[in-house]
Amino acid sequence: MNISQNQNLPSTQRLLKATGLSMALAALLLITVVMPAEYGIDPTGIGGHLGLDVLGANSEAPSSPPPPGQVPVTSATDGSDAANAALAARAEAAFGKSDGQSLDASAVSLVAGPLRRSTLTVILEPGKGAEVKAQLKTGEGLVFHWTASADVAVDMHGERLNVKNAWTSYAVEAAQHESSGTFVAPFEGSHGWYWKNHGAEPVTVEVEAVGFQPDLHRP
Amino acid sequence: MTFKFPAMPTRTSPFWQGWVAITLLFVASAAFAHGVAGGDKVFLEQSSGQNLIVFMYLGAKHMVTGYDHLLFLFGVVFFLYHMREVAAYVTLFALGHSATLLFGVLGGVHVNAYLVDGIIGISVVYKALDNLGAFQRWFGFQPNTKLAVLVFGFFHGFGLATKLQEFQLSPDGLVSNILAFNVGVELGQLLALGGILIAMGFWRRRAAFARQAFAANTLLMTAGFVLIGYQLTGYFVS
Repeated sequence: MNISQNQNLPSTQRLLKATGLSMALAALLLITVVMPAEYGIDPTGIGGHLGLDVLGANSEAPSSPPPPGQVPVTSATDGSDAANAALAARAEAAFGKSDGQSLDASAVSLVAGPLRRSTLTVILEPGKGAEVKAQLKTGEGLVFHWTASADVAVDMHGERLNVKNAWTSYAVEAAQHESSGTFVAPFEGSHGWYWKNHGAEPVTVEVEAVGFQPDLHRP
Repeated sequence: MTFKFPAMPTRTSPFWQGWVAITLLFVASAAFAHGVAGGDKVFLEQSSGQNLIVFMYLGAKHMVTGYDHLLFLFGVVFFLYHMREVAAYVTLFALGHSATLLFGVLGGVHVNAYLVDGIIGISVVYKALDNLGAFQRWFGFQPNTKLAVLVFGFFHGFGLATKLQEFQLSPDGLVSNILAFNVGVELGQLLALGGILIAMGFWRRRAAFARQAFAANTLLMTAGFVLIGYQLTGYFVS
């Protein structure tokens, strides 16, 4: 059953016109209203005129990259008053008021999904370097351990999204064959290691990471 | 970090006001209908064990405020005049989306939320074209409407599943909670359907209905295209 129940079936020309019209109207709405409001993409500037871009500007998708070379203040600190207030309310609801309790909601970043373990092995030819990275958002972290079959130079570092030729170093050693630790990402981006083999023999590096987002990969 | 809202332009022309009016519905509902609201999120992640009534409520709320499901449902019942037919189609839609909601959440099947919501947009466009008689005109026959509702129901179910999968749900009582969410979805659907049918009933009694049916389905198609574009943009920028 369709429109032909109560009138003649529309002509192909009329149907194509209706389809074209709705696609054009949809495109117009998308470009002038939905994209500025939802994603902060405003090619025509109309979304800005309507004041709708304030919604999109707050979304995380196309945020402008922070200046490279310095560790930004994490968002957890920004929202700490609000987060601590929520935590206080929850603590009182669950356990009642208690003296001696202070709050720091920024100490934990709760995540969804199972705890995972990721391992990767890289072979460094003499004179060559390689990277292993994991994609992490601000506050996400992993516990890591890596070993190399011989001493290598290492730069543990992170790169911001959409920023080329700039990185932030966390730990640098000229010659090291093993390292372990806990890492919490200070900003969103790809974080990991760059190793360089200054020796004359190939070196095998094995990395292991445990966390919620430890998808180690070679960029 | 301080965040200041830029002042709204004080003098807005009727043209801009028109745009605001047309799209207020889209934007306002998009803000809270896509996904589950903030307070509900806290509850979902902190609860454990059976919470049948709460999950049922959340399922119903998601359906009643889920404009994408409602648009499709509106298209499906547009030319259904008998209660028996409405029941048959809505049952097929419910079977379809229940199957993939349960399969998705309990089987741990993760699909991309933007792509699934984009396909839901396609289902709205499809149903609008079907209502307009476009397939009948172009291909000489109308594709099986019941099969279409069932198949698109599968995609709507995956859409529902992705909303629940955004949260870390306690495995304790998960199966019964998801079933309760599903029951809530059906209750919410019946509630929304009741409203749509009442409005359609009044509309159909007017002589203008036949004239407006074409325009209404063209607008429905427009909404479908907006949904598609909205979700695909999200897919590419995220």
